[in-house]
Amino acid sequence: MSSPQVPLDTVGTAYTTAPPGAVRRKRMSMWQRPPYWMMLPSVALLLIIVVAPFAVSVYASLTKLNQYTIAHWTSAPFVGLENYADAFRQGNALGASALQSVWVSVSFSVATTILITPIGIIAALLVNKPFRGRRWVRTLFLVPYVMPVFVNAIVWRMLFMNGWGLIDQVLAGLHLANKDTFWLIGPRSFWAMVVADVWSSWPFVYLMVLAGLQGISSDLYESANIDGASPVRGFFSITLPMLRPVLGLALLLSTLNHFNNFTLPFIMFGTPPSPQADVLPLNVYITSFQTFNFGLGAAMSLMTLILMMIPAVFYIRMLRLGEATS
Amino acid sequence: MSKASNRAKLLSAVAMVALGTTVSACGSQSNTSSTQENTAGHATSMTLTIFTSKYTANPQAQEQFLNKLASQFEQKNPGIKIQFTYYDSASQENTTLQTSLATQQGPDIFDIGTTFVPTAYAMNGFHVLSKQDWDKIGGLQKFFPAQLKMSGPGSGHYIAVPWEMVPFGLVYNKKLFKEAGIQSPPQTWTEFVKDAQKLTNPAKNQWGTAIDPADSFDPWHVGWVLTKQFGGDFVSADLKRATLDSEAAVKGLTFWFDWVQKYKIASPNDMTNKGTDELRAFENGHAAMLVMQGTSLIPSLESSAVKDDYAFAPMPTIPYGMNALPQGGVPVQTFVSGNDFVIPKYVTGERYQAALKWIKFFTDVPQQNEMYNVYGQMPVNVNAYKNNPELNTPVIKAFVAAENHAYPIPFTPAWGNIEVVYGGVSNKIANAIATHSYHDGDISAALKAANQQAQSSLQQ
Amino acid sequence: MSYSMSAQQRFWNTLRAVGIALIALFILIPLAYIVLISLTPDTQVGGGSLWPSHWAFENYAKMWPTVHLAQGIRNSVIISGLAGLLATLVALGSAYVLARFQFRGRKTFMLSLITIQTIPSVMLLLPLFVIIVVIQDAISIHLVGRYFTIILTYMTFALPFACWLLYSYMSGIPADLEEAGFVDGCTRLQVVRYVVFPLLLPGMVVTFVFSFLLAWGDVLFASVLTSAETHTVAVSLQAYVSSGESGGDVYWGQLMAASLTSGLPIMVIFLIFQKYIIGGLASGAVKG
Repeated sequence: MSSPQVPLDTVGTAYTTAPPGAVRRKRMSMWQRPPYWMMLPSVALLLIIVVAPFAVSVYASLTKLNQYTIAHWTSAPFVGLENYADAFRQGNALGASALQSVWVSVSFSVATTILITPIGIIAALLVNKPFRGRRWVRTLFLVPYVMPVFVNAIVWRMLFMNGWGLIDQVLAGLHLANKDTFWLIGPRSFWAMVVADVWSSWPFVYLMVLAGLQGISSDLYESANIDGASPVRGFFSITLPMLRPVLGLALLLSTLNHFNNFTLPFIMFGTPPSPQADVLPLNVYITSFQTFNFGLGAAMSLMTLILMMIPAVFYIRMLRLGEATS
Repeated sequence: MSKASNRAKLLSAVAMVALGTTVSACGSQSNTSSTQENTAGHATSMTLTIFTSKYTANPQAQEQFLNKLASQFEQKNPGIKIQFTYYDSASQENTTLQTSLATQQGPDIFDIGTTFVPTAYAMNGFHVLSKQDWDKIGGLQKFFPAQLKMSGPGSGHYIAVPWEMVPFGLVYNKKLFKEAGIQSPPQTWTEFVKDAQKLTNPAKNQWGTAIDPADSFDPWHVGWVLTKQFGGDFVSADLKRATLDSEAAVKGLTFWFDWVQKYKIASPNDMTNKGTDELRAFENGHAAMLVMQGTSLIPSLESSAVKDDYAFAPMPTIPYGMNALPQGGVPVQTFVSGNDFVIPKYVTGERYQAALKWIKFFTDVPQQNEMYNVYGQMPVNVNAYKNNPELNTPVIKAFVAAENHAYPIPFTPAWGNIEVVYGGVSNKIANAIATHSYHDGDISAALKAANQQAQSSLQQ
Repeated sequence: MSYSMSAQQRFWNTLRAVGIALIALFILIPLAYIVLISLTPDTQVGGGSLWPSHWAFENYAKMWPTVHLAQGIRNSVIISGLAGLLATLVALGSAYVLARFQFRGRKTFMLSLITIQTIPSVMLLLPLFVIIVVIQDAISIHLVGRYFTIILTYMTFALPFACWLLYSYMSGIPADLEEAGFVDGCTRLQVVRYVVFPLLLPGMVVTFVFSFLLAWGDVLFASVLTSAETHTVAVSLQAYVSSGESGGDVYWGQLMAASLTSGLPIMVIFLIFQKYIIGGLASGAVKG
């Protein structure tokens, strides 16, 4: 073992960032060029099943594709950017709240991600070391993730129901709130939605971290132990840096996925939900797909996508995700 | 490295086996399917696919019933085979409809709701039935005339054939009525409020009625009927102007929310209710009267605590505080509600003829009667009610009476948009009430904003 | 390490027990509520009292024929299992190239994977169906409603995430080992199979689980790309909710019972697979 001081601080980079140039040159010379054929199946499938429909959808966003033209969709009139202008003008069934929906969606996905990350990391650390019954605990931790989203929404709707819902009854029993407190309408509906989503989605971070932990060599901890570092310090100086690529990815995807979640508010609340819980995708879904305006729907989806990708690209740059071998 | 590579060998072996089964599983699957297709496609027979909603209250009974009907039909019409595909949700129905029309292939007969017919008509993807076609089905006169009003924009332009009707009515709890000393169900909305006040006892969590502003459809179901009674509509008669901001529309929705706000006959907790929550309140004796969708409720009422105590009455038509309908008011008790068959245009020639045959068969008296017996859905064939004691019970009579006061919603393809914006208004008001920020004039302002949205969808 | 527990260790063990108990409680309270509803007669759900007047065990019997639950579960296991497995294997190839080689367009490719992952799926539904029908007409083989089609769709949807996930895990594995393998005279495929594969196993298991769950939970694509014979369990479960949409009563008890029951196969699969998520693999290999 080398000096304990060095790996503690640099080990993360040693494994995850650029290997010394000499090593890479050597490898490149021995391995010749990248085996592109290994990527071929992925690329081909993505092209046919995602990229091609996406391109069709982009085209549709430039046409007046709606209930009148759907039967002859190839000849739907071309309207240029009109749908995009419409999307700005009429976000919501009651107008002018598209911006608010963006704000709700951003707060929702950020709040949820911030809450599920520590829970997920702690849960993974708790079941990382062997103990009796560990596999049952590990499996139990997966249960919320396995419940279908709409079942989750129904259950939390019942739990949060004012008057007879369990949460109001418990809060009233503890004299913390009135039994008739509304959770599914008004400002509190945002938090009801966050709680329901946290319950069902923290195992995502948990699973990612659990697998990430397995890649950390126990030697690192042993050397840290010899060094007399406490487990807490070990966590911050070894575990967290080593988890960086996995955790960075988990946070990014969690944020993006929660931004897209519309089943939960769709079932938990009425349609449309309270302005405080009216997330953008739901807004898009209702104004376009329930009212058969596919062109507008595609335009709104595309704008949502661009809106999400701008911060995502910054984030990827900032964390230098995907640059391990560059 | 030896330990690691042993494990690796084992694992890769497992993976290869798994991959092997993958391939063979896919292979066997495609084999069986292609043989099925061959027998269906080439032989002398044709298979008609009917896309129909799943009757979730008792799907087994539905399957048994439809399969039995199919085999009877196949015996009478050799060469035609009937196959059913059930959809489980409205979104699945929509998506299949859109994809079928866009790709010009799919089911031969679609089952759609009456309020969707205007949109389906605008899609221009379904056969307009000719006089000859109607004769093959058994003639227009075999159907309840009100149901046909939602079959197309006018006679000669019908695309939809009714097969079931679901008029709305007032369901009430006889036991609670007796306890409150009320003899008969209310005839006017004034009586309705008065009775409901007698039936309300907040201490016992018992209320005269209930509302469900968080539901996607119920707010307009009730709001439209009330608006018509006040002499208005959601869209002008020429279908060019949205009139959600009319005085009648404002009065209609205000009256509904006043059940909570002003008359205190519905629980303030109702603001987050959907239809099913409202029904639950009735079934548990927390609400004494409900404006609800007809016979489709009966199975759940029959299995509830109020199974011996419920009865139906037609909805009142005289607005609150009035002795007669106001100027222009229409005695609407229900909108024309039910389900219809439509045949897409990609179904042609012999297939089209076969589809008509099936529709005739399904809407004939024996089959309609059996449909009622199996799952309590009301026949649309007028002759089914003649000399049939089972269809002359007090409950059914109340609904037939309501059906005679059924009026069609405006036949506009923008109706879907109107439903959505109206739902938005209902939710906005419920939100204001729940957060104690409701002011007079909120409903009128919200309807005004909604009207602009509705107007822009009408102009498309 | 000594065999007797040090005070510090006892402290950490107690803390772990407390932590697990807290998280378990957080999971179990809503779960217990689901179990409770699954045993409550439908008309008493939400009737005001938490405990039903009698237990409705019959929900667990009635649910099977109501929505063809067994068939749905079987289809879901086949479809999700194969989609997960194929996505993991196909992504392994891409992730390997992405993690071990530097080439032009690599970064763009990885960014577009994230973009693809972010496309709202409602946007793809209609065009994808149209494309499948076009292909179907061109090769005159029926595709809609086949296992094959839906499996391929799900595995492709799972690919971007799977590639990134495996890429992240692979970045954590030192490349020296593969070079050693190459020096020993292995071909590239052999190196991937005998060196990368075992080291990456925890990551692959997790990738499989995520891809599996993606396919398991989807309702949108399954409802149009599957036929009555190939419906997944998520589609079947949704049938329970639709009667609520039309104003009727919902079989709450059966819905909850069926949701719990349909979760069991995933639990079993995870119970089997979780033992491959074990610590110290990388370290063991480095030592070996």
